Amino acid sequence: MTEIVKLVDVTKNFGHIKALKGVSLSFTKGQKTSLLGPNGAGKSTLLRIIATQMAPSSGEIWIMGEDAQKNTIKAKRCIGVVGHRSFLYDELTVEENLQFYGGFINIDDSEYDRVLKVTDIERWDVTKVGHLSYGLRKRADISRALLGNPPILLLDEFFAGLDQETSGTLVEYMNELKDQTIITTSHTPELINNFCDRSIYIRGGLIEREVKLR
Amino acid sequence: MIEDTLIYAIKMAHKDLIVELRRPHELLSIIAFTLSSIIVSSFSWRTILILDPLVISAAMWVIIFFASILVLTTSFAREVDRGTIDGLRSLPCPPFAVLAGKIIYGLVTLVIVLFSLIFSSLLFLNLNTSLLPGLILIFSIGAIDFALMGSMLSAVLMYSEGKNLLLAFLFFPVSVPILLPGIQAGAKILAGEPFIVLLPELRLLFAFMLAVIAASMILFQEIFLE
Repeated sequence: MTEIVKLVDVTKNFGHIKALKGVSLSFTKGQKTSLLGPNGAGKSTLLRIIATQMAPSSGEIWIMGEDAQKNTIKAKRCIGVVGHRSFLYDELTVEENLQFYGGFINIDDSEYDRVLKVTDIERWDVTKVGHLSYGLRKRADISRALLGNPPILLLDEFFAGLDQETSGTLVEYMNELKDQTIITTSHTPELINNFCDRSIYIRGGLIEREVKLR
Repeated sequence: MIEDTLIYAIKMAHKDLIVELRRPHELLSIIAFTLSSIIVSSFSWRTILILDPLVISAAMWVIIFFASILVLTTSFAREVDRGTIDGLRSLPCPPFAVLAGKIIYGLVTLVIVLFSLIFSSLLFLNLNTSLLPGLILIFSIGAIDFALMGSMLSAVLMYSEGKNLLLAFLFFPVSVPILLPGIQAGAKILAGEPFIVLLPELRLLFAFMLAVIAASMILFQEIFLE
């Protein structure tokens, strides 16, 4: 199986606090993994390091076979990130937000229509994001992350604050994404386990256990 | 690489300008502050037959200084507050492009304020129109300096507690290298002196500009990527 993301002995210190204490993991193509654990376990830090938004204190990160710390821009092109908080601007419409983020990757105009279709948000493309409900905003945010069809999708606290119906719809979208390697964090395994192949439990900055779900 | 960075920076600035223009109360408040400051000054100065160029210059720099605090210091802090800073971090572009975008946005906004300041000064302080090229030159260089330094300061402090208070307080000491030569140069222009006598002040303003650019290029990546 092709390794899409590989972490080798990754550590992260915030002053005297050791958020990650030597994490080694690999993620293969199309694999959907949930990172589970209590608050402060190091899940979000790990996700931010994979997203190259944060540099590790030590260790290696390989994205699509390349050293992500040396080829940060190339690594970022391969990664779509959906954070706990939306990356979209309230004052811009959904379409304008997508065009802003899409302006940094070489994509056709048809790509905007494609990602809007994936999350079924075409009807709201000219609506300002500030006027959207939380669920619709989340869908627009997923569309943004899918721009350019990145092979890796990172979802941080994906279902936080969503009602059951919207969460169910998003699980369906996630199940439809067959090619993407998805890594997601959550406190609530119930929803995540509906589309993930494996769960990794993190505690105190270390991998506690790994569970195969499918 | 430089061309790409510039294109990304323009895209960033374009986004910021659209966002700002869709929330026009802030820009309009700054312009209203500029106009009202000049008008209020003209009320008090209208009885004086010959105004001291240093006083007018200082008043104009104080106005542009406060406008800069309002425009520049929130640029990164706002991205942090609404959570979009991680979106900017996830962009596949050199980190310096993000700072450059903020600088361009700050500069465009300051130029709008600058024009309202200079033209209201001509109108309400009865300044001679022959002073216009000199005033535009010196205040434009000052605006570039403020945009560079304010954006960088905003980036440095974006994660600190009480950043809005800190930004306003720290903006003054770091602005001194702009204000001192700026006020002197402004006064010389208002006194009708030729451009050649502005050279010492212009040199200082350009040197400060280069120093801030160099510091930004070295430090920004570390600041931006946590």
